[in-house]
Amino acid sequence: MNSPAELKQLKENLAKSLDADDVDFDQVLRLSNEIVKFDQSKVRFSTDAGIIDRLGKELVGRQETAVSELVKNAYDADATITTLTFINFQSKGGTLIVNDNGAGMTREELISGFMRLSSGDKIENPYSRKYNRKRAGRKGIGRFAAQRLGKKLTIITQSEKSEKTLRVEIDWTKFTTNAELSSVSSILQELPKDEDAGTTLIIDLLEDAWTEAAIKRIYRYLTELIQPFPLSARSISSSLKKNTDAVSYESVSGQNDPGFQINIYTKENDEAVLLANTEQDIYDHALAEIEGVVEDGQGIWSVKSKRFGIDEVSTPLLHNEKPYNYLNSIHFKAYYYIVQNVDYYSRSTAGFLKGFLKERGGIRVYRNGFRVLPYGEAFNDWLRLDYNYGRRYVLPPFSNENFFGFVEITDADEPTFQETSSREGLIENAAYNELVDFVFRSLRGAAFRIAEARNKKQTANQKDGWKDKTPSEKIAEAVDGLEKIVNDIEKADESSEKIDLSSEDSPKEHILNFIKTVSEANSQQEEVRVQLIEENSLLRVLANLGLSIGIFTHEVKHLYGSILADSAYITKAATPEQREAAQRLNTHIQSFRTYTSYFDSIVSENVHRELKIQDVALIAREFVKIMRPAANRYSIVLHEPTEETYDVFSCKMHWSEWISILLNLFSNAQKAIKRAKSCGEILLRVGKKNDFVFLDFLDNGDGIPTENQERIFEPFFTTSNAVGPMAGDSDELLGSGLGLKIVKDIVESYNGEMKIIEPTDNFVTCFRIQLPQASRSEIKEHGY
Amino acid sequence: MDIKYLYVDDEDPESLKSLANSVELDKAGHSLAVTYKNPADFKFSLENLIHDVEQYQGLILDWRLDKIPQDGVHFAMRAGTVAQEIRIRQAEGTFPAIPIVLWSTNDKLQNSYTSDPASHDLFDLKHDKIEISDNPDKVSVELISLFLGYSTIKENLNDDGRLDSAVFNLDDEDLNFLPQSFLGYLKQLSEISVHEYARIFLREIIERPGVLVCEELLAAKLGIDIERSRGWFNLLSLLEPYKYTGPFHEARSRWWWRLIEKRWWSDFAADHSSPLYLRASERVEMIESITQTKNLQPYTGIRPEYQTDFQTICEYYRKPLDTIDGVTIKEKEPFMWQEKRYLSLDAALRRLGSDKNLRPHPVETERLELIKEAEQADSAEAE
Repeated sequence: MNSPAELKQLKENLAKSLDADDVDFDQVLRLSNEIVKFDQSKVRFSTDAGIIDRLGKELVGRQETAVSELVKNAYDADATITTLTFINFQSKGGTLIVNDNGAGMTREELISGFMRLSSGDKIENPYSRKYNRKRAGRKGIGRFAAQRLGKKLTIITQSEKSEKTLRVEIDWTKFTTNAELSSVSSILQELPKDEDAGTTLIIDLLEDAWTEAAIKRIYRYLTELIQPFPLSARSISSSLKKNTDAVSYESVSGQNDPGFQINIYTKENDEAVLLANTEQDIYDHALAEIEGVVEDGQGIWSVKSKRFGIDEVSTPLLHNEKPYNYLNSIHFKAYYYIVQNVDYYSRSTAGFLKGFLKERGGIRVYRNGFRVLPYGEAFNDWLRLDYNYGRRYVLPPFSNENFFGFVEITDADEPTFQETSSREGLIENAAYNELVDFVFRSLRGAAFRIAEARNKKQTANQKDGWKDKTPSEKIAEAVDGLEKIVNDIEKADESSEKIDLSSEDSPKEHILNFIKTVSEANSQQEEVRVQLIEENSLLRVLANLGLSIGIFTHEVKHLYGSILADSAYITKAATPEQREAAQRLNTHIQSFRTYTSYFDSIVSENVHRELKIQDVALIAREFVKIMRPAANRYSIVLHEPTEETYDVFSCKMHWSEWISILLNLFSNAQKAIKRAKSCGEILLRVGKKNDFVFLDFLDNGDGIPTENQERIFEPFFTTSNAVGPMAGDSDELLGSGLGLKIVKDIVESYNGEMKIIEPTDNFVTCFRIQLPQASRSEIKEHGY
Repeated sequence: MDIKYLYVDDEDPESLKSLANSVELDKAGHSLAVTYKNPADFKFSLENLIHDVEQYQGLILDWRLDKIPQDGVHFAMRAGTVAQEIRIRQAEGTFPAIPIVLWSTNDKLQNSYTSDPASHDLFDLKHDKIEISDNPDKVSVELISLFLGYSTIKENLNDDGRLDSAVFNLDDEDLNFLPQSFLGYLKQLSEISVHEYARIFLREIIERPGVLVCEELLAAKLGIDIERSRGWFNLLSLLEPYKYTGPFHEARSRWWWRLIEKRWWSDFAADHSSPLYLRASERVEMIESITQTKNLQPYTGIRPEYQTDFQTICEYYRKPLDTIDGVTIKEKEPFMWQEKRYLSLDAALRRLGSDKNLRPHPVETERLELIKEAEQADSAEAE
């Protein structure tokens, strides 16, 4: 060793290699390295090829981290879409393909960047070129990540600038201990370009088996890590701008970064499956979208909701009556959901949303494109949403589970926020406190605005939830809250603690909220009162009408005897030619009589205030008999009632109430049939179910659109033209919109239920009147 | 014959005249005249009224005669009081035997009449004033028939006060076929007045089935579906000899069932002593083949599952019924010579007919309850 002869031999060999037509670069490198060892006056570090393996293991411990690093590299390369494909991944030896549409690498970049350990690019350029993204990947980790994942790496890359696609195949197994690092070469090919730019990494012979769960975990980690989409650069301000003079939102951080999307496919046996991007689904299900921005020290938020018909921008918010000092590059976007006690969603969607929001609901924070933990994690209540909702300081749904959103902080150029040294959150400095104040107040304002819109829609709907609280409930809650505050103040007095009146959580703020609640309750009360007055006045008109009908039918009855007798006499005395007309007259008088006597019996029955159990089958039969002439006039076939069982007796009530129910339903059906222009058919069906008796009223009219099914029971809801209480025309009076409401009121006053059920046969609409069943002993007592 | 009724009512004279006019009739040798008078016409005196009635062959009364006129004087009576007085005098023989009819509106009868069954027997007939106009001719015939019936009974009263069997207008041979219980019942009646006999004829012999049957019951016993049988009238004309022609027959068609069963049927169906032992289809087949009557259809039952060995009718549906598929109705216990009346199970279970006072007999309650319970259990199982 080290003899001059050996050196000579090496030199000769090197010269020979260099002279060869087809230079063996590997040989040249190896010979050069050998020759350098003869340098007696200087020493150099050399690198063992085994370092690759060691660095990979130490820098990238877990396979998930390795994949994340590769994706981060794609992000850093300004990719907008990155696709991961796991092939035959469930056992060792599978393949992972990471494809992005980022900048790609030129030959130069590949050799002096990727292939050079510890390159300085990321340190020198902390922001990406195209979108000015803050770089996410840890310096120089990518290649180790690839090495950590599989035994073989194929890089296919092309940059916009280059004319060829580059392909490098690296066999990591060649990097064994005792070989000189630089002596391990990999083949580089130039291929025709088939894409503009981007990089594809094919990692073969994966070292680990993967599970779906692990892949999903990565997915979630990655989607949360990087801000889903930029706010400042997009046109979020466009809706806000209109109210905020001409201040434009020039991108602070980048040139219209369109965002970064990750798709993950799993492929077993040639079957590729796309993992659902649940986050996207979540956005789609939002009831409202809330966005906010601070500019010139003024906070502005907007709320948009198709469902509740809201598209509004707030008046500027100030912080303690002063501009926000530190918030110059703050945006947030939040999606709003209500999954408690309401049916805005199908059962399965609600279940999915509940699960998702419970775990991931809340407002995350992204600083310069990257997630800052723990904001928006489960159990983190940095905005004090759960706190305020739980204590009922805010009544509309307002917990972390009602929101899914994030705050964008862009302060790379001029840091106003500081992360703690443990990298676990932001230091609660003045900027942070302003941020909490702004986001909290914006969300609360939006939640109130949504509640108001829901309230309008729902007062008559009688659903559960905030909206459905009665004014007195709201007032009672406010009183409770006020008492609590008084107690708190007393306690504070005792301990001589100072209460900060300026903070978001101060008694003053809460008291103001309660005042708001009370005044809301008050106006809600007023609304109800006005509605009741309207309803009352129409009921008065109808009551008067009822009285008049009573008097009329009673008086008319006394005339029958002579009218009928005269008519009969005329018929008898008539000449053969007159006879037909006389008989017709007689028939008409007869049906008039049947009709009025029916109403007369209703009226006289009403005189007895005593309630009786009612034979519903008998009522249905009588009704059909009496109404048949009327039905015939409308060309409606009024079928004989279907009696499903015997002894269908309802609880004690007035016979006339049943008649009123049936007359209203008949008038309703007749109008529906008229609109449908169909060959009208009406069927009544009576039966028993559990402890209830029911009467189904079926018609084949034009049906009730689903969206109206709740509303038709509201007072004044009518499909006829709206009329006031003083409508003169009797047709209009019948269309007063009180009909079904009256029916429902009657039914509910006996603890019954009126609903729309699935019609049978060829019918279109089926109203079910359900009332408590008379007891066995009551039926016995009633007799036959 | 000219038959004159007096009609006393306190309502508006104009409309009542119309009513009276509407039932006047001149037909088949009889003319009916109805004279309307107001209690004021008798100076509100019962005696004056009774005196006036003697000139008529019948009396029609409104139930309420006590409407207060403007001068404050009025006739403080109901029709019941007037009728009672006349019936007493008739029984004493101091007043001619004439029929008394009640014309009123149902709601007026509601209180005092309906709740006082004793007053029901005072009147031979009761009409709802409003319903009269539905078929005034029918009412006319009923009024004429009442008068004629009274006359027939009067003519056939023996000196001992017993009714001569000639009243039935049957020959001796036919009379022998009538049930002994029936004839015996009539024989034991004595010393009763004409209106009492009239009541027995109207309420017991004609109205309730037994020795006489109405058209529906006749068809049921022969197994025939009237509605579907065009030959029904031909058959009825064959049965003409067995039609009832006794008192009050003009207003109601009745047939002597005993005679049809024992004389007519037995003549051609010697092997079968009664059609009642056959199914409806067999009865019809036999009648058609032997009488050469065509177009008769057997009735198939109120419900498809019902038996067709019809003996009776359902009083609600008035359709043939096998008693096995029915329950007896609540009514006065029948005489031996009367038949029980029935409601089909369908009507009874559905409580049909309660408004016509057709209710199951209390002894049937348990059976109905059991059926309902079984039904309930079935449907519960089905669910």
